[in-house]
Amino acid sequence: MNFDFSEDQALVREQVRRLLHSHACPEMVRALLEGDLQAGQPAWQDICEMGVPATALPEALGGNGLGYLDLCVIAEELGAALVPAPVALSRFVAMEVLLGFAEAEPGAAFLQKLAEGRSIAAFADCRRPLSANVQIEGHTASGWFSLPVDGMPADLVVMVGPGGALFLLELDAAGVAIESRPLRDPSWPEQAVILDSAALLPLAAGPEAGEKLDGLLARSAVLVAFQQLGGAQRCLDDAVAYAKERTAFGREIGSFQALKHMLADLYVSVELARSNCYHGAWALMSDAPDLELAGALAHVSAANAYLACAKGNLQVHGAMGFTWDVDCHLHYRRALWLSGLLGGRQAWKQLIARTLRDEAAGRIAEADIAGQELADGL
Amino acid sequence: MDFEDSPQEAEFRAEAREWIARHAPFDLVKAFRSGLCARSDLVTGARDWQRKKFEAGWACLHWPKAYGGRDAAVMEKIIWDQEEAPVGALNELVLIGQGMCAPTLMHYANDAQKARHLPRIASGDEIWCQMFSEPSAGSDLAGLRTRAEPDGDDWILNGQKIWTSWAHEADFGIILTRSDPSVPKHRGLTMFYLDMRAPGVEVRPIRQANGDTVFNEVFLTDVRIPDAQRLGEVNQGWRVSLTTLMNERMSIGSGIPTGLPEILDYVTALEASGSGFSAGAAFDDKLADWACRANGLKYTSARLISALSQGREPGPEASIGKLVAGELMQDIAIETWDLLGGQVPHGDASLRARHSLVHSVLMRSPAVRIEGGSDEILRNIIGERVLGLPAEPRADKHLAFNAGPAKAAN
Repeated sequence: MNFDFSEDQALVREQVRRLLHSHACPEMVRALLEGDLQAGQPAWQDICEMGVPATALPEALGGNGLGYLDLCVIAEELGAALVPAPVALSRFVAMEVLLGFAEAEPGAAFLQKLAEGRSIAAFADCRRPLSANVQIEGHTASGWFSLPVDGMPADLVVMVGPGGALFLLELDAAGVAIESRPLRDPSWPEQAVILDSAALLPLAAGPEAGEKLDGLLARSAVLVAFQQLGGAQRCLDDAVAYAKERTAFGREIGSFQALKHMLADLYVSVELARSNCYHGAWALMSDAPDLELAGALAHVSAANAYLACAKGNLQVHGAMGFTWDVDCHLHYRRALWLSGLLGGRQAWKQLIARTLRDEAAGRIAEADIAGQELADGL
Repeated sequence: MDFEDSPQEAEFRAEAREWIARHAPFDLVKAFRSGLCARSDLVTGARDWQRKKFEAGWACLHWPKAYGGRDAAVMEKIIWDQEEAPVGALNELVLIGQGMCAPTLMHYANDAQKARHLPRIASGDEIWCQMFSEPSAGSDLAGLRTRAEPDGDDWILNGQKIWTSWAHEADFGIILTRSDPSVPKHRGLTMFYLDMRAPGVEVRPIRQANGDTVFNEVFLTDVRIPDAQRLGEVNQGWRVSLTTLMNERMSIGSGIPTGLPEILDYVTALEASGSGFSAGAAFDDKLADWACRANGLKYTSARLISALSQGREPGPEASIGKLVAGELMQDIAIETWDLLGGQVPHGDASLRARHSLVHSVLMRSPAVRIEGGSDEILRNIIGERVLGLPAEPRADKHLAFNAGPAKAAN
């Protein structure tokens, strides 16, 4: 048994960390929040040159020979660095879904472009009632849906139609318009896609498509969980460092149990998330039969940890934490955004409960049979 | 990254599983956990089980052969613990002796003492207890007051210990004492072991909040023990006690049971019983949160085992296991209690047995959050020793013990 990443993966981690250090990522995020949707471009270019979007892809589709464990390590570093580049949405979600339907065109051709970084994809589930109102006739769509922006705007959307069929939508196609509809506080930029008889490229339909999609999103859940884990660990580290340095009442504030115990609890949340993530990574790598449950546990656990640590970090920093120039609010925003990226914690918690309830029902039925056999024997 | 046993490990696991399946008294443990038999029956069963294991060569696997083990690799010990977990309750009686006293003896006792006691600890013929806590020294263990005074080649012990688990069954015990009150508290302690039947040792069982009686008060009145029973140097007892406590962290192989699958099975069985009972969506929401914590614990343990198997020592990080498990088991039991709203399924014996388990977790879990380092002490350990935060102010740290607050309280 070796429940840890290998030395090769540690090297990948080091390489990504060094690359991200060379960019002023938090400054880019502030620029993005102020409306510069191309702010992350320099970081994204380096990330693509390093081959991140091509990681864990089959070689026929442009893969670079690295695997899912490498991608998990990369995700963790991206989360820690708070990089405003579209890796979570494009590589972890949209491409992971597209990979499930890559055996036929048009999926394969698009994947190659995405792997090279020549295209950025988003994912939109138009079955969700509040963020979409789309009507599909044949292979054209009209209506609108909300389009998340992960660092940089996408040019392609992997779309789940209202009936559960999967499509690709090119955002430069005729009948597609993109509107920015600013909110009071752009917690993270968001756009609306307006469709007027826009052409869709069909990927898959029928009940199998939906079932397959659930399995694919569990893969995304593991990868997003690692990004959340990296963010959570960074928030904890920042909070601990500040608690050691800041003094009040003649003592470092980290010596007060009110903060010390809060930080200890945050540490526990990060360690539990890390263990769930490692289990998820193992399930992802080995295509384990319980991948859906493992992905859900990793994603919920990491979302819990990132939200708790982002809140706690801001709290430890006091009023300084509530300023635009200190990074606490950037993690707070990112933690909220990532927790909703795959449909929100509630949906994944329902999946966990359903799975455990089914397992328990199986055990009860088995015990009943054993009890009956015992009674028959007597 | 893999969870797979190596071929040798897999072979060992299969062998262990088969032997346990053939010899372990599963029904006894099940009956005890459901409140259908007394603790004394479990203790008798536990003694039988230890002897059976010892005779077949399965006791204390990772110990040297000379002391009754088989020099097994740490992974084999962990695999054994995992396989034995369903009857783990049978080890409570010997856990302190085998897991904490014996490693201390291996480190500090002389060869004759080791040869005499260790095989008997392995076989369960000798039960050992650990006398650390006192009425005025729990979380602040180094503030203990039981005196050890030299008298020729002997030492005379006077004082009182408390919360001593299994002292009423124990043949021997290790004991931490104050040998020099004129120096700061951590520097005046000495460790010994003693015969629990020596004159002047009186054990008084304590009735616990859950009605059970596992721990005791131990009164020591002019107890005379030879200097040969000293473990470690005079006034170095604090360091010796760290060896003992460090070994506590090694007992992680099988993880800490939280009651989650059993209580979920109970709720599911209630729903399937045709009574019309339904747990509802709020329960599912909590279930998912519990599962995140329980699964996180399980794989935190896997990460620790992985580190151990590569020869690394467990650090203070291992503190999180009990911290999470104690709170989790209490949450699960209280929420389930709330869900039932006072209903008890008296009509069906199998449901009643499952219900008893909820009860025992309800009433036992508060102790888990106190014993072996309270939740609050564990948070201090994580804060200070893992995260490196500045220490609590300690008013008596540099004062001679007999000049500090402990003196004033006397």
